[in-house]
Amino acid sequence: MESRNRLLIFRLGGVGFVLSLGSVVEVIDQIVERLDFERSDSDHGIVAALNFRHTLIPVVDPTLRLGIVSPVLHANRKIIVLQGTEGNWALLADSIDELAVVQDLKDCLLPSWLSHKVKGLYSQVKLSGSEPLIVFEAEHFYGMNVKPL
Amino acid sequence: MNRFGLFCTEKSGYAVPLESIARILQGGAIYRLPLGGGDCLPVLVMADRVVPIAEPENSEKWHSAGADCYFVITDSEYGLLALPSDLPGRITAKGECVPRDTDDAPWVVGRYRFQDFVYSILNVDCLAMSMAERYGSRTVPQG
Repeated sequence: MESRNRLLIFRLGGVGFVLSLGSVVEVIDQIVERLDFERSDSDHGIVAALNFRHTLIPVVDPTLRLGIVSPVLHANRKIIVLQGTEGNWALLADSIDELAVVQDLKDCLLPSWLSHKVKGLYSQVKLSGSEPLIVFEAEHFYGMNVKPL
Repeated sequence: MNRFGLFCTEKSGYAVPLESIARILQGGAIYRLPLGGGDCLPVLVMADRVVPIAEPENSEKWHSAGADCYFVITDSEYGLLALPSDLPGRITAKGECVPRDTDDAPWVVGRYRFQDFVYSILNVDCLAMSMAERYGSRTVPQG
């Protein structure tokens, strides 16, 4: 099955997210020794640099922009390395749940006022059973067009 | 004759015009959607739609709602809106409408006296608008 038809489900602050597997380079479980927290840019949500395949890449904590709090210690969080237009970058997640197939998730409507409110954070929600999962839109969290926090 | 759906939460009783009630749900999972700026909106899902849960009295009890909690799903101009209820509620037209108090919230449009209990009559459009304005007034950085 093609990777673009598969989704990675991860969690942040108790909220579920889905991400196209086509953009995922690698998932890393053991992160502590590979992060350099001295290299951060809080204005852009970058909390550390990750030594990934002999290159330092930025690590973004999406909770900062989403305004949610992770209950998980840094040492126990996971990293998802993504392929971006400006090269690889990584995001922190509390946990990685599972893989899903696009067809298994249903579309879910947001009230229009809520869609307007969260513009710039996310625009789509999918349903896994009765649970709403936010479609993670990488362009809102890392890249040249992302405005400072 | 006006018919109202009556329901109660931890602190208060509410009356909603019957024509505004779309459905009553028992139990169901509550989820939270981030809004940026530290806010999270409690929601439930009904018929593949996200339904915001209103907090007419800022009660925290229903945040851990289980099978013993009910939700009155109302149809407002801002879309569906869920109101938490501790009891399944009832429908009646036998009560008496009385004026609102001057210090009532703007979405309370009157009082409904029924069997020695006074319920606040909710204008769900006003309540939904208040929610949309409250959350919508905080801007999200546009990516």
